[in-house]
Amino acid sequence: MDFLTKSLGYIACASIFLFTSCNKFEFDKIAKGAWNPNLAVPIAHSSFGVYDILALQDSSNLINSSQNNGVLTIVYRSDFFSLAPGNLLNIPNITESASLDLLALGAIPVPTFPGTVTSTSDEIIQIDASGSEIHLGKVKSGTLDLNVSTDLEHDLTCEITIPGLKSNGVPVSVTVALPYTGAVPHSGTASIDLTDAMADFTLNNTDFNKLKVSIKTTINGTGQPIYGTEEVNFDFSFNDMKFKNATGYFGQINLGASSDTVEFKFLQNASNAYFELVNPKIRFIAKNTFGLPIDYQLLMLKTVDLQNGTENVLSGYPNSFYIASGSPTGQAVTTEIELNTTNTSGLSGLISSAPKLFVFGAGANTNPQGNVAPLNFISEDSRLNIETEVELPLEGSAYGLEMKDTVNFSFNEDVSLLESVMFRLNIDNGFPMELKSQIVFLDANYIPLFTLFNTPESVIAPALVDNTGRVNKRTEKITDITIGPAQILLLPEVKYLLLNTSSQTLEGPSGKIVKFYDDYTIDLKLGLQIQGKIQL
Amino acid sequence: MKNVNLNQKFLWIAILLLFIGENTIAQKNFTFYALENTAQSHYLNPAFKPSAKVFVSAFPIIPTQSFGMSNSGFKLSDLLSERPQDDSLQIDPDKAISKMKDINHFTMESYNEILALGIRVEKNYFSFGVTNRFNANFVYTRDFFQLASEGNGKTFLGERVSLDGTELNVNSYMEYALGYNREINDKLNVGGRVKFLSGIANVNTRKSQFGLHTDEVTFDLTVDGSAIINTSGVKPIYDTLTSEEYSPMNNAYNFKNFGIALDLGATYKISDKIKVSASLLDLGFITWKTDNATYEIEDINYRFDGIDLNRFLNDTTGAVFEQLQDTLKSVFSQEESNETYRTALSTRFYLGGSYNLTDNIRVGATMYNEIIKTKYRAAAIISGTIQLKHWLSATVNYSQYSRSLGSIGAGISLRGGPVQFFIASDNILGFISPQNAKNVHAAFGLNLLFGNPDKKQD
Repeated sequence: MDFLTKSLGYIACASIFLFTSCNKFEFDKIAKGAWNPNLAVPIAHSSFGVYDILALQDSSNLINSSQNNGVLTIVYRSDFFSLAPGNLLNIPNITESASLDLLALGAIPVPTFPGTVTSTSDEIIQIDASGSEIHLGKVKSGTLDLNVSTDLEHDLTCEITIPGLKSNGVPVSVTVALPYTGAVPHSGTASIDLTDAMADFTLNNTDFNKLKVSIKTTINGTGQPIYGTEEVNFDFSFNDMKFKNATGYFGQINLGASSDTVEFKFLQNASNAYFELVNPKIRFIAKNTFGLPIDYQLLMLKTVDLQNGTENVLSGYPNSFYIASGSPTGQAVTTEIELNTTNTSGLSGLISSAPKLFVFGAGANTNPQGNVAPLNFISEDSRLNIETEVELPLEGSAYGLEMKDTVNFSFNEDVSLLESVMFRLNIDNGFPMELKSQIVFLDANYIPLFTLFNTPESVIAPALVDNTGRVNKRTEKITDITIGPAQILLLPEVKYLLLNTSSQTLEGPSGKIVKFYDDYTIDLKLGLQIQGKIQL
Repeated sequence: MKNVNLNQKFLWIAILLLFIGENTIAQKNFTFYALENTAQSHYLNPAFKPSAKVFVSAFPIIPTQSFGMSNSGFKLSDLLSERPQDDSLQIDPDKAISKMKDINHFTMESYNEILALGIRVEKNYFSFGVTNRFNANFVYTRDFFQLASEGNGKTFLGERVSLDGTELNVNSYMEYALGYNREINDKLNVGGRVKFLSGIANVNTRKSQFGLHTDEVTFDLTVDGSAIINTSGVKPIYDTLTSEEYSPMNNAYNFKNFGIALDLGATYKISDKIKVSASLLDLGFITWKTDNATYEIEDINYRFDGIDLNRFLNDTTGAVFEQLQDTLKSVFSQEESNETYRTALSTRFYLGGSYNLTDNIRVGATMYNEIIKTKYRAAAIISGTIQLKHWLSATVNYSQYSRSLGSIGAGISLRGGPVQFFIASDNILGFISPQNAKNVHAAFGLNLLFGNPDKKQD
């Protein structure tokens, strides 16, 4: 047992020696370390359809064209021309005069005249309608102002009736009294409101622009003499005449030339491209409620690239179109004029060079065939509207569609915490389009600091199509965009991103025809992987 | 020959227990199991009792104070490695991760005695004690640590980060114990303690299944899982409506969260040299009724694939992120209730045997077993104890647990007159070489012993 006691004692001593001889833990030797987590997170996702993509600039112009087997079509519209009645029928203020001598008044010279004498006579008033022939019309507004004066030293009463102007079916009539007060000449006035009066300027279908005036004059003697040289003078003034409608012949009026532009919004950022569309069209759609035909003349059709001033003038198109007269019931008659690849040369290349504007000019003349039956008619609601449509079916090929855009950029985070950043772009593409991209990071003076992808790199691969040009197989592509340590250090200096993209349709340079339908989608997923370096 | 055979049996038993101990954790004061002359051994086996007729330990003298902490996943030295260019140490998470198992435990336990006394009346021994007990257990997965260390962009791309089984369990309560011990005959001693418990605060993870998957191509994040967590006395701490006078310690004495537990023990002398013992401790529960809040997250499976770019382009940035926020709130919404719940104590039991080599030297082997929420853990201890004179008793043990190479524990009790001082640790290496220890533990205290304290223990 002593042995055991001693052994335990030795073990205890050895243990104490062992423990005390262990390496002491020196906390002050712990150096600063680094924490290098690698985080991977999804940033964004979406599925974009055609309308979503074009919604950014141009969705309102996109239609599903049933005329083109459902192929999507971009249609740009412009209200090019509008004509109101005032352009065609202007009635200036008219003043006509008439005089009645003693003979017409039924009087003779006498030293004193205490009796009464009455007479009637007709006068014709010529209406000046600025070259138009007015036959019938309904007055919207206007007045007939009368001024009657005489040097007779007697009381006078004039009853004036215009059979060609009827209000509520009754000829317009007014009586003007001229009492003698001891001085000559003496006069009287009257004004007739012609609103809603029906006008007949034909003198019972024998003429135009004319009105008959019937005048009944009564002289009541005052006992003064009649010298033999006296007259009664009439002034007729038609003022501010407007018509609700009118029938006649309004002449061959040159409506003047005008021009307009259509903006190709989806090409606004395109710097260079070549397009070949299968069947673009330009339409002029006239809606006419004037009761007269119009000759419409296309004076100029061209596309313009504002960036480089390049103009592409179209030619060979029919330059004169007949716009039919509107319906007598007031219904618009539509006349559609279409320029297509069969009647206009070079139309398939309308947007070949990615122009920004379509510019066109036209002129118009009324009654191109002259004064032939039937008569023209207009109303206050008559209009001629000409709308222009540029229809671009998304069927064809394109390549070299380069776009550039500069966007603001700001990065204020602590870059010392970042070792590298990797964006992962995962695109599942259902469009027959390929997109290459390059991103240039610019400082405040637009000086490049560094570039992602030395040359534009394909980030969207085109979907494949069948022999009709319709997509039958989607294509998926994953692109990793890495910003390395040196580039990260420059990020705080970056103020702008210059985005360069270049796109083309599937095998666009070889002219392969592809079609775009509204069920195409492109699915996008954007992920971010960050390698951190956090000093502890 | 008989003694030799018994020695061999003890040796084999000890070796077996060492291997079993591979998966065990925590410090449980088992050094006291061999210091039978301290009154505190009575806490580990109610059949043990001090020699003195009267034992008192209370303020202002130092009653038993014990603190232990362990981490099964890694040691401090596993987290550090020398830099090649100099002898500085740098944090090396990969090294620590390589040491971990799928599920790892970080535990803390304290045992703060407020009052203890015992009286021997002939063959009977009565005891009473008031103790504040606290234990906390954080269960973490290797994936959790690896995710925090390296992020989800390396190893976990295309893999699921498993947080299944991640738990936080905290238990704080006051224990009021009444003990009784009786010598049935010369060979057999039995004892028991009935403990009335007043719960102070509790966090109990009933269910925790969470995972995070990162798609290796798109980096889409998918969160799955569910959880049920009971708490008591915790919510009022951060609830703005709580009175400023609120303290969880108010529950230490009012038994609003009432519990009861039982300790049982027995010793049996096979011969003059050999004694076997067994004890069952903390068989009981606490019913938590006051200041409760139970949080339940129902099964979720949410995939986050980034913001909807189309919506982002057509709406305001604020609206997009508001919708995302609403979605996340909806997905991760939790139901809260204040239902009453019950937690079991961590029931432990000891199986031990000792062999008296001489009158003063004893060797022993002990198997420590613990059941926490249906999980079984064990430790194996071999010990040597020496009694020098009547005033000094010392023990050294070797225990195997927490996947470490093993721990060396030691304890000593010194007595001068009626005053007995004791100090013990289940792992003294934790103080000498903390960087290589997975656990630290210390216990100490002062006892006052009256009436024949020098009587030799059987």
